Amino acid sequence: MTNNSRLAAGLVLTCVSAWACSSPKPAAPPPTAAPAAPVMTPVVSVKELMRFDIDPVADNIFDAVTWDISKKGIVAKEPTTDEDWEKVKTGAVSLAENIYLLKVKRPFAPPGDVNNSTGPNPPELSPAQIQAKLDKDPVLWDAKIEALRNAAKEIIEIADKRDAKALFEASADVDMACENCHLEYWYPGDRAAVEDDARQRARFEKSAKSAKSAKKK
Amino acid sequence: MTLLLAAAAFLAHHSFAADFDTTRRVTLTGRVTKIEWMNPHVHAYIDVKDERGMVTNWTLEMGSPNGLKEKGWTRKSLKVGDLVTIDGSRAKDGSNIANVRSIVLPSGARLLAASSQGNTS
Repeated sequence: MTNNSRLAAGLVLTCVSAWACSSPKPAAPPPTAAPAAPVMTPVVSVKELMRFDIDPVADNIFDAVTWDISKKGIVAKEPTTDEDWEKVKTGAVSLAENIYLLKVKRPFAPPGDVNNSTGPNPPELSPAQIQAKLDKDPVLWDAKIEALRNAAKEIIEIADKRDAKALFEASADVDMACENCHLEYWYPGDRAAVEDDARQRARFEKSAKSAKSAKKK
Repeated sequence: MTLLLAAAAFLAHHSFAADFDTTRRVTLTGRVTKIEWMNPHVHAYIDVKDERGMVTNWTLEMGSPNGLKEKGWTRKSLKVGDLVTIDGSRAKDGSNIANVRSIVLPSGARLLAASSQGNTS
């Protein structure tokens, strides 16, 4: 390449660069719309999901450790084999995963089923009442779901460690998570009796303590 | 001493009030035939003899093992053959099932049945 050609080439490059710098940047391609989340549609109501899915898989956990005391003696049952522990873990994994199905909007009961919500002092809330509670505070609904999920995750860890004693203790946590949610959304009327029970128990303990100290005197 | 008894007892995963009638209180005396110590509820079974000598087996629903433990129970508190008296609420469907509030053991000690979870958070 001669000096002139080098100069020409340099000028062309300079001009192109200058044009490139001074020209407005080409418009960025339009952002691609985020893929829509898959729409999850329920098959059954909450009540049916509980009956046919959540409750049966929870029994894999609850039924794993038992003490049956009869005339034949004490039969202590706990998971020992691979199959036994597999069943516990199946229950725990299913519970932890499936409880998230409560995040999929679905009716609370099948059509026409209003729970035990009629008559004087009905023990249960109607599906409409439950929905209203959820709509008012969806964060609380999610928190109850997470509580059960955490309890189920604890069982998964225990199943991996194969600790039957811990399983028995932790299955009570699963029950408590279930019951707390039910007391909030299903039969909150029982809550008053629960609290009354706690008050009576406190009075009983105080009374027993006083009787004990009086006896000492 | 007057014992102050715990109030209502509960079944987990069921509305207590839906399944049991607090206005149908029941007091039963009978011999323990079986105990199932498990989550979420401990169950005991007793043979109750009526005035004609007819024996009926009743199912007694109590609280969770942990709940019972908090109230002073151990797995050995109740034995097969023990003669006990319970106080509770009868099932609404009329079956021989009672939700137990308290139970008097052969020693005379009265234990609360811990059915309510007391977990109202």
